[in-house]
Amino acid sequence: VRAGWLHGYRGFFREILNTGTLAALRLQVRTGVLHVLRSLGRSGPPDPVALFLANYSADGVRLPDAQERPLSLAASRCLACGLCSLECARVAGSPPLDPREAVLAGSRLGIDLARLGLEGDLAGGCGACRACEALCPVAIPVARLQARLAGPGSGSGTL
Amino acid sequence: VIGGGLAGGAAALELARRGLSPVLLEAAPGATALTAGTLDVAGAVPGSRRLRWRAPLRDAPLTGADRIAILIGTFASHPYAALLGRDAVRDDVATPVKLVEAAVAELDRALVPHGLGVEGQLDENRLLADQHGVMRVADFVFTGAAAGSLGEVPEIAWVRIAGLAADPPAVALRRLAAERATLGLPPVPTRTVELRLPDGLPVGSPARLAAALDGPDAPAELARAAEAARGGARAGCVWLFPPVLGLANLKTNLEALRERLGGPTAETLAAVPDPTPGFRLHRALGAALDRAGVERHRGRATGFETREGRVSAVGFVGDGGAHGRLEADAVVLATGRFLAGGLCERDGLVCEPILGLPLFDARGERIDGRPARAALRRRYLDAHPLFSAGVAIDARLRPVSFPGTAAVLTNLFAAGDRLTGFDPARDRTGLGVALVTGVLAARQVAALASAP
Repeated sequence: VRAGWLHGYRGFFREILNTGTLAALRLQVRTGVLHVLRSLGRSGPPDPVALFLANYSADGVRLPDAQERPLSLAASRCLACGLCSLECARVAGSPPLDPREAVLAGSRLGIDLARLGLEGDLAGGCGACRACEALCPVAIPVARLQARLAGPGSGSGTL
Repeated sequence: VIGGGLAGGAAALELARRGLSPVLLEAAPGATALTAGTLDVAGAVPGSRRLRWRAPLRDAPLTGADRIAILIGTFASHPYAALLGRDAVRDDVATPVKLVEAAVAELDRALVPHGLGVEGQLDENRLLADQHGVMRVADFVFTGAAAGSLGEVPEIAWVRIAGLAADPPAVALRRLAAERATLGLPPVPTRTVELRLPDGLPVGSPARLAAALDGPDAPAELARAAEAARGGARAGCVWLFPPVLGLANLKTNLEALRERLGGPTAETLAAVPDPTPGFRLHRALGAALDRAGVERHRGRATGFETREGRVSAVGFVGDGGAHGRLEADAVVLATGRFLAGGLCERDGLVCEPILGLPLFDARGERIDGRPARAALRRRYLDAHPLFSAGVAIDARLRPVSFPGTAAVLTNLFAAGDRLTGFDPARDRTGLGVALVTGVLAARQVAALASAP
């Protein structure tokens, strides 16, 4: 019990030794040390959104704007049942990307697709036949979402 | 008919059967696509006043009519109460039972040509296990899980398909044994069987595997794999497979397996998010609607045109954002709850998006215009008012602004999850209510059409 706090940090140090890359080290220091220090110096309940952005906007994460918000909310209804992927494979042979992956990516806040390595797949992945949409139990506009993720309007490749 | 799930489908089929010309507007199948493989009409627990469906079974299980009466007695605004009448059930149990059985028989007749049937009886208590080993009582069951009743059986064989993600069989069987003990069933010997399917089948994804098992070679391949796994099972051993045994060819595959294994062969029920039984139902329902000549449109209803207290047309947004308009003599509203988008949260408040109708929970309290969070209880398994949110209806299934008042529109009828007063997660009546109210709404429309 006395060394409890030290025990908690053992995994953290092990991770640093295991990964060994500078970027990973930076991230770990940020989340494990700076984040803790900042939370110690703060008074009163924090604004969770501001806190989240302060910690992660450096990674290309941002809030979706007003136009993207409905699409992102629609995507967040995803139950991960996989029917869209099944239908996509049936109609299009073997597509380079599962629609489900696009929906799950779109359901997050704003994520830099280039960092996830999804940018190239998304661009050519969808033929916009909308076969998937007819099956989706929760009526996610999968094709529109995928087009938004891949489209030229998405700027740096973020939703 | 507005709604792409079972309630809308059943209403459209019934209207077509009565010689009317239904037009179906579909946005999403909603909860229909997520069925576990049962059609629960009155799945309430036998002998349990509080509907705790894992309570021990009594010596003499209740009949279906008794269970409907329990549902009505427990939930005052249950759709069954509005339809059948609180007193009618007590005085005349034959009518609701006949009504339910006729509705199920019609659904069975419509689906069977497309590879899916409904088996069971209202008075039956089939004890089925899902893929995690959790048990539930069901009256009507779709082809697939139907033969998997685990009451008094000599042995249970739990089949695992090599490569398909599932609970470790030992874990599922331990859970199954515990569930059986809770239900008061005697212990039963079990065996675990690993089925090796030929290379090249997509065992990584349940839905894709089910689609692949529709191939012409699948029955022979399954039978060959089962032969190798059969071992020394007792006579009458129940074989439980994961819910992946084909989509359109499910029946053929099950029969091939039964022939080789010599005992009842069934799938387990599915647990969300495993979509196969729901996908099967959605496919077969779509095929049945096409066969019945129902005109189908894809799109989401946005509003009604009304004239003299009647709906005259429905406006909708179709694929790609194009606006459309459908004229109608009567409208069945079967748009579901939150999954299919029949209810939604707008500006943080719960609402009914087409007409802005008042929404009530099972206890008759207003839900709309409040944050969704306000209608949720703290613990996961509590009775969340939000889950029974829906519109109130009169005795003819027409939405009303407040219980007891006159209908909002004289030719608008509601069916399925759109109704208030029931919570399928608790009273085990999900698709049963959808089917029965869908058929009854269609009858009201037919009565309207035949009136002078």
